Amino acid sequence: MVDAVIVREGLFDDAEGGRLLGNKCASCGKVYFPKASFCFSCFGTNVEEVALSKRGKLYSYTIGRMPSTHFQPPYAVGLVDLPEGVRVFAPLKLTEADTFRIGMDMAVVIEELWQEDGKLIIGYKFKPA
Amino acid sequence: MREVAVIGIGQSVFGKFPNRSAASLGGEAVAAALADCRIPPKDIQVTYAARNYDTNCTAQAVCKEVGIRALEMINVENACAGGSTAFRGVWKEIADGRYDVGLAIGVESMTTSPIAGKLIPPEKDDLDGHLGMTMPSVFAMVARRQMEEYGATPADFALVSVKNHHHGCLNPQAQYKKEFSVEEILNSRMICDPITLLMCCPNTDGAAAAILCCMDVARRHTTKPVKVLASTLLSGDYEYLQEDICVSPVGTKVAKMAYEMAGVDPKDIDLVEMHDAFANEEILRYEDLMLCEPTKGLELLRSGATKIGGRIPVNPSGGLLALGHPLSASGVRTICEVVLHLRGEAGERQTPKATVGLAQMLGGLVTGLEHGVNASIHILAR
Ligand SMILES: [Zn+2]
Repeated sequence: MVDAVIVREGLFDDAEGGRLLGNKCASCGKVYFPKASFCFSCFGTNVEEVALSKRGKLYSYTIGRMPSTHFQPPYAVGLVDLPEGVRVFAPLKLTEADTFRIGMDMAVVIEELWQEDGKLIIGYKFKPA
Repeated sequence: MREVAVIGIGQSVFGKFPNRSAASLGGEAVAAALADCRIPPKDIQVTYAARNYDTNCTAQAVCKEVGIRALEMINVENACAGGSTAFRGVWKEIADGRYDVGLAIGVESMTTSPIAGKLIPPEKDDLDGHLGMTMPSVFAMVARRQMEEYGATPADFALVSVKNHHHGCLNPQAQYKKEFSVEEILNSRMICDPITLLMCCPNTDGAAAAILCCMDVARRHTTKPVKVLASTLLSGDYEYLQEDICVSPVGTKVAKMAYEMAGVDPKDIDLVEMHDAFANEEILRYEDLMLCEPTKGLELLRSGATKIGGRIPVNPSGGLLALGHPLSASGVRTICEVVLHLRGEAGERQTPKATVGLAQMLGGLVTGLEHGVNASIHILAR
């Protein structure tokens, strides 16, 4: 049995099959992911946790062909725009077909990102919806 | 505020030198700058040194190589704008009247740094860095948007690299002095689609140095001092992964500040040295610097105006792409190149009748802030 640890606290939970958790400014309504400790737009300090939509649209992407800190090539990363007005940077699930295109619908998945010191590191990715 | 001049410039060799220390590379650049203006080491009153990796009293270690010691020395780190920050530090000291003569150093040993052989990540605790964000992956995502929104093609990005490698062939100090065709650049190894190896600046070890002084001192040493008309440095706002990743709000703001401070119009600029760490980036920076109308960067590139001999040569040194990019050295090195052209000493790559030149640097990644966390522009004139 291999231990699983999450990549960082407070970014997601496992409700509804896994969803991202952001926060929302009570004054101006701006939504943040990862959570902001105060509103970067109006500097309001009253921010509350909100679960984010599980689907969004691909704003841009690339396939890495050289290693990054934890990923061996090929790996895909991209920017996904969620309906809440948040842009999320995330690894993308590279499928055999590898058919990413700007504007396509994407869905969040919570799964293993990489292994480190015998542990599975769990985080979020997006895959074509 | 006093007027400030640049009287001495120097550069070390640029390339891969895993057996040379940062102090030795820095010392070579400082010795060249001292020789350039023929002032003795003891005349230096203040030193700022920039270095990104493994920095630990870099200014002191470099200066001891050339007989400069026992004076105020400040070490700075500001990602790719580190060298610009060091230059601006010295400029402020002299403009404010605190000192009359100062030394700015930028140095980097990339081959011995902890990131040697890896794609440059953000700071090590940075979440997105762990999730696969690197400098090339960011610029690759920007490139895809340039293709989507402006009709750019990978061949356009390659064209920037063709141009800057051609310029590098005219610069004896460039790391790479080799011409490449669009096809060769497109067919080089893929790094992050659509960015290929030859669209990325290489890893480079090297250093650059500049000696600044007040006008009284400058006139004693030269009949043609190069003046610093504008010195600006600004950090990015909370606009992470901003609405349009093809524009740089901080880059645009800092350009407006610089033109205003210098009292010159973008049309007055005779040459530009800028941060072309990735070929596609140069096209966007034309727009930030107002060398063309917004969204017209591609047209400017395709017209050939930014080649040596064109209306506004950009990166006549070969840029980071061909000359090389020792991170913190580049901010000083770009200023040195502008000074050479203003003096009329740039040899085969000389910009004809250059009177005003601009050196820009932009860089750094921090989750939560716009990408390009630091932007700096210096405008110089003869
Ligand atoms: Zn707010």
